[in-house]
Amino acid sequence: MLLYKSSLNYLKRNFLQSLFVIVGISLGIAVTFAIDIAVDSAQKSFSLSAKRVAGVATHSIYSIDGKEIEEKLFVRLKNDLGIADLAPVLEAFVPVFKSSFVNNSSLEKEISLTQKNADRDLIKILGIDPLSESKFREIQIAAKSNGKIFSSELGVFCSKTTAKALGVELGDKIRLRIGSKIKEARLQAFFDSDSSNYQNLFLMDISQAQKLLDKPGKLTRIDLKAIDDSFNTVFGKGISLDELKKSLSEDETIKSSESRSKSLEQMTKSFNINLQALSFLAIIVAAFLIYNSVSFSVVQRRKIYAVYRTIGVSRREIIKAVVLEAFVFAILGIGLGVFLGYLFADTLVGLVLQTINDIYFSVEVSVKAISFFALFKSVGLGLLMSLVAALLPALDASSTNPVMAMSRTSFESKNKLKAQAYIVLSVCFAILAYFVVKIKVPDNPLNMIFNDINFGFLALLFILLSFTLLIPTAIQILCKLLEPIYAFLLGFAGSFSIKSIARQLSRTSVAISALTIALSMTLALNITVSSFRQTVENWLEQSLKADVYISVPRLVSNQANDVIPEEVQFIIDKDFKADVQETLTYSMLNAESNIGEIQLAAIQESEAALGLVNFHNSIENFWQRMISGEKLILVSEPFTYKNHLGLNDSLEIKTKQGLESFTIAGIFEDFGSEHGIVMMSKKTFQYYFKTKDVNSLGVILRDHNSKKAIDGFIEKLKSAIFKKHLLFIRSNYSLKQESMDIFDRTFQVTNVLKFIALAVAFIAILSSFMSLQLERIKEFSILRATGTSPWQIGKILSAQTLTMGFFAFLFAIPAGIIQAYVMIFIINKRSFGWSLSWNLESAFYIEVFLLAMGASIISVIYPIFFTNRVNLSESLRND
Amino acid sequence: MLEIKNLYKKYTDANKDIVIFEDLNIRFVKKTKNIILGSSGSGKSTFLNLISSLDNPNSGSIIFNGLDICTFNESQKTFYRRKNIGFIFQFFNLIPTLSVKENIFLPLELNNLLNDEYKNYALGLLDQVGLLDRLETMPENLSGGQQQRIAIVRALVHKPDLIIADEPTGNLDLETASTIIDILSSLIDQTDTTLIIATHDEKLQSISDNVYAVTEKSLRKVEINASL
Repeated sequence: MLLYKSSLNYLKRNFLQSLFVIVGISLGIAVTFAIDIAVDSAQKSFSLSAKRVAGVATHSIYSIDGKEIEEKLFVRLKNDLGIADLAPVLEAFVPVFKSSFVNNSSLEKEISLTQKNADRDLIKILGIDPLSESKFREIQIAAKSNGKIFSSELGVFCSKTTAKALGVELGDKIRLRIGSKIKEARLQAFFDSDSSNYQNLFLMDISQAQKLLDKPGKLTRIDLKAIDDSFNTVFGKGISLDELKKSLSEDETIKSSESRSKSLEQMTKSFNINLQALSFLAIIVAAFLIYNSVSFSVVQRRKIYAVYRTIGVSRREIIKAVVLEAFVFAILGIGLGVFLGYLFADTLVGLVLQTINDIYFSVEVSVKAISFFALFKSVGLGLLMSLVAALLPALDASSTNPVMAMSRTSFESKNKLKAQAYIVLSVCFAILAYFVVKIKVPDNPLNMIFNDINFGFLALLFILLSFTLLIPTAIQILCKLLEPIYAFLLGFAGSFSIKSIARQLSRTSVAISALTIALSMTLALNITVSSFRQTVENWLEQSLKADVYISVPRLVSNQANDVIPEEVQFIIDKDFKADVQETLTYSMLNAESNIGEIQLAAIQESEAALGLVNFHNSIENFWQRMISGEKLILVSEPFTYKNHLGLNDSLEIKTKQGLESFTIAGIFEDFGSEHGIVMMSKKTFQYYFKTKDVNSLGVILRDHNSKKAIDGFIEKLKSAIFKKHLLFIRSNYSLKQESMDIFDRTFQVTNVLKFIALAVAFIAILSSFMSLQLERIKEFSILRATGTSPWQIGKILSAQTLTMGFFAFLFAIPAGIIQAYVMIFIINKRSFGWSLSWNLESAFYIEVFLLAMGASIISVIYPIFFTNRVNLSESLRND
Repeated sequence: MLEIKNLYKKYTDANKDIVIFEDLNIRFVKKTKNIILGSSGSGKSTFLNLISSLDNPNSGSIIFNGLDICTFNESQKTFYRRKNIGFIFQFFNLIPTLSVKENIFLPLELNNLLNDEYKNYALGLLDQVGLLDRLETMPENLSGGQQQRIAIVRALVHKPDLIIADEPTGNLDLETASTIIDILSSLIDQTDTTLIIATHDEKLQSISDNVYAVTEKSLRKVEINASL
């Protein structure tokens, strides 16, 4: 007990240092816990969204191109095949206007606002058949409704919370933007339940929904409930799944609800893995902080451990005492971390859902989910990391040689010998990192843990360790080289400070390593994010060459069902002939293929369209061959990477002409979709999918690239078409800006995490630098007693601390660049399949330098103050 | 009680062997007070480290109560020190994070002897060294002489067979050193403990039964008060 009491007394005495450790651990845990809550919440929100869509349906029938199916199919299934358990559904995401508008300009502003707040103002219209519905969804309408439930007027039902959020009451008219038109519907009743499952949802009778959405006779899907007789999946009166599939046309497909959920979960997998990896990095920094602090306190108490050993305290008892200290830190840090994590989670849930809405799919329900597993994982991980991090110093403490421990000099010489052994270990870690990078992890049941991306992060950890182990030797070399310069520039203070760094290697190397890790991680993240940003900017520059873009305001980037009315293209061709040089059309649909669902786009057969695409690789004369009607396709880089396909490989696509095989003729750069995209010539697209729908238009003006001409054209076009059609008309530069805004929003999570990881590291540095200097109070008291002035002491302390900060900056540059290389060319490639170009801006090095100096200056202020105010006689008297 | 046979000990420094002891044979009898005299660097502390199993000889044996401690493994050595040895250091080496009471109870706790009998014995010793009123004081608030008195009590509380003292007066003024010698001597006389002190302070001869000098890579018994 007394051993533990001694440890606790030590922690109490070094309160500030202990506090730093606890706060550091808590931040690391907070990040992990908050990310887990954010990921869980996103999954839960998604599953609630999916559940309210699917209800108890086991299967759904969709159109293969992601558009609508004919209502006739519902009648056929019900009457001809006698399937009773089925329900037609028509759904759409529409923006709701919160305020009324007067003219086109305020309407335009409103559209733009709605676009920006897509995650908040997007409402799902769910059109259902009340007669078929009772077997599928259990939405009860409150008895106290205002008027008839289903009247001839367009009426909607929603939850009280949704109505409150929109600022509407029963009987109010609500303005909705349907495609390019504004329509009105009356709020007729509330749901009985107000659970989060029913938020941001407008329920309608299906015939009214068809009218509202301008989709007469169309359905989004038909929900079915199968009877599982343990051998076969059977619908209605004994119709098997195969029989049902055969009865569908080539445009229709049936999917189980489970597979749909899984495929959507799969979509965000890389994103989630990246988030979890970032939280892992925060934990690594926190673990290093624990290691740093525990080894510091062990080094400081070597003499005490020596006394323990001489009076018969066993090695095991010392290990237990040291580990107990780490355990106390961990418990307090974890407790605080879980609390902070819960608070951080609010921000992170918002950021994560926003990103998912921006780049994946619409999640209408937002809930904060805290699973027992997330709590268990954070607590478990925190404890495990703390104990592992403390074990090494604990073993070191237990192996204290009492005879050696009495002399600091012998310990430091031993440490210098260790530094040489560390070089060997460093090389081993570097080799290990190289091999870990090379490993191709096959699919396995524990794929969330053992996957290529996590192995990339493991390589990153090994690189960090490799660099850290080189630091003691590098410090010795640098000190030797700099000593004459310091002596020349700063005299006694200079030579004393630089010599002290080398002589106290056991302590200085730990402090410098902590700072190096923090700085190198900052540098690596900066290089990675800015390389990514620069590449995306270049790509946008290359692919957005039209001057004006016209699209139906679309709130979810991956949903491309909205079609530009033909009349718009007609107006542009006819009324703006003088301004327009060329019009580019963009068409897109979802199709089924032998590798699953793919996004398929049409590329116009014009040199201008071809010029927008940057090819990495292509077969000879591919463009001429595509125009001539050969069955060739172009695929984006992530598509080839994720599906392990290359040039000349073939892809079988289910078209309206049947299953057709296409050959990959080119691989192009694309950052629009991490899952990849397939392009075919417009003629081929129209031939195989029997559609002339255009989802967006690009207009190249004769007065190309003139801002004034572009703005003027937009104004003229708006006044020509806004009377009839509400479309998004944007200039090239505003579209680029919007895309970069989305990019920056996506990286907000990374920035928040980087900031927290940096805060953890900063605490580590502060703690070790301060302890290092405060530990030398007696040494400085002797200097003071022998006539060194407080100014000289301040000079020595500052020179030493700033030099250590400078060393950390020097070591962080190569470490950061190598980490960035791994992040860009290995982790990013494995996560998204994108090739990025390097962006090594000098501003990053300046930032890292300022961080290093800032951390050093802050950590030296208190020791200078304290050293010069210490009672000399007291300090010199005590041993 | 403690017998050393054919002991050989050397160090290697800068690729050069430095022999400290060669064919050392000596026997310490129970309940005796023994002084080992020698100049700095002569090997006194090395000898104490060897008999307390903190260091290993290159050859030879150290027999304690019939057992060769050189054959002990690490945990046996720890247990040997814990049970049989009390240490007194030149620089006191009290645990700075424990109070006076906790420092003197530490060996009792390690030996599972923290019962009333031993506690009272420890407090009695503390009373004899005149520091019973400083039970809750932290070591940093005591003078050097007071710290060394606490260190002596800590060495004796668990009634070890052997007290090893390395320059116990080396860090004290003459008057305090004299007090410490008197206290140590009188407390040892009340027990069955054997005392081995390494010192260069010849005045300590006054309390000893046997005086040895480190000379010619061995320990040679010398006459008390003989000039070295």
